[in-house]
Amino acid sequence: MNDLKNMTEKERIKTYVSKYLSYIENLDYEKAYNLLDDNFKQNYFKTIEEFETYAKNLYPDIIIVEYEEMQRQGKYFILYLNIVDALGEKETITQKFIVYELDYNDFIISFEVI
Amino acid sequence: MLLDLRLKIYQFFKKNKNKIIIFLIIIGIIYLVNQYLKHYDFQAIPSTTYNPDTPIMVTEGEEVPSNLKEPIYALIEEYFDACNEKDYEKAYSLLTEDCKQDLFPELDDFQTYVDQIFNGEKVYTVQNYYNEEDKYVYRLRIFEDILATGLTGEDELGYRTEVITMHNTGEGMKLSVNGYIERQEIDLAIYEDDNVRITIESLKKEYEKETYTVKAYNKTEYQLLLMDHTMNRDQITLQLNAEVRVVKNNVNNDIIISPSETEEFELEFTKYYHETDISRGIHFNALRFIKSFPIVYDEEGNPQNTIENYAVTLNMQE
Repeated sequence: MNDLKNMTEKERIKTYVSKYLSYIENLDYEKAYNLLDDNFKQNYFKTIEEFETYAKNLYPDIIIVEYEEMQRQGKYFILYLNIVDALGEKETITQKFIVYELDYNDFIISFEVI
Repeated sequence: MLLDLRLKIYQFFKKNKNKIIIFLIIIGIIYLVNQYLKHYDFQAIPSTTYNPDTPIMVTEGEEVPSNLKEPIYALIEEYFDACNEKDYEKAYSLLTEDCKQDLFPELDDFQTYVDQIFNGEKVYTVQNYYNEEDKYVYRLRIFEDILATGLTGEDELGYRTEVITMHNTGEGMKLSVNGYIERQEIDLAIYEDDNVRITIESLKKEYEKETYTVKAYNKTEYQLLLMDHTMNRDQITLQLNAEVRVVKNNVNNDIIISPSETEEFELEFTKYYHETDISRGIHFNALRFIKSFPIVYDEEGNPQNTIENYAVTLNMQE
């Protein structure tokens, strides 16, 4: 938490995305799922099983994140990421993430479903 | 000597016992408070570069008063929620009377406006633009609920910009939308001679423009031409302190007053609400009294068959 307080706003937002992706990498799908916006879950992943299937198919086992661009609209952040397979087995994915920070380490995420 | 010193110390403590005790208690309290503050984890607000309350349209502008920020944001949220829920009556009730009369005389008009913007669940961001007296102008950016969609299927975020104004009235906070600010009655802006009487009746202020309602009475037996769309638009101009603005009206809009008739018409000029230059008057560069139509122009572009041709200015400031 103190680390977050010492970060700039942009650094915090990137940290939140990294946290989400690290949960995926560690196969901790429940924690990752709990970070998602409720309406987003209703629209795309009504159950955690659906989300887990999607994440397993899409994301590589070991993730390298390349931040291409970050925009803000008020309190909403839109990040354009390249998700690279460190092992080279899966193709690089370009994906948009939406982050909304409520407080330190309290945030909501959604992403472009591809 | 040592005995004397000890005696003096003893007498000192005995004489000032109460003061010493109070002093020690104060020191103890200060110490405890200091320890508490050192270890207590205050809930700091996350730092951000987003400053919605800072007016961005002027370099040094009047800030929104602290006691009004919460009511303003509450009203914006209430209005927005009502629009999202298609509770047209509730949203309509939050508007100023001027805004209703000028933009949405009927609830149906407002419903059409809302439906055009709220074609699905929307979210918004706000940014203060400019503040003056009891009016606080904000920019809303309205877009789909991107947390709900993740921008799936969209290359980038599309949004609609709306300018709204919060009015701190005697009956509480109200708002006006679609760039509308207010209507003002204009007194003392009159020109009259033997041929014509022209009055500026009122001004509709919007964030990007000023629209004047003007009434002209042609006293003569000739046609009075105020605006000819085939000629330069500087026939009618808005006079500011430092510059002049030409009228914006529809390019095919002639202004012709028949003999002994009165016509009311609108003149629109570009003028941003945050501009400090004051509108001083409206200048009619060519009041042309024509014997008959069509008008025939000579090589220099001067209308022939014209009885009289002169300019007048109606001043709005004393």
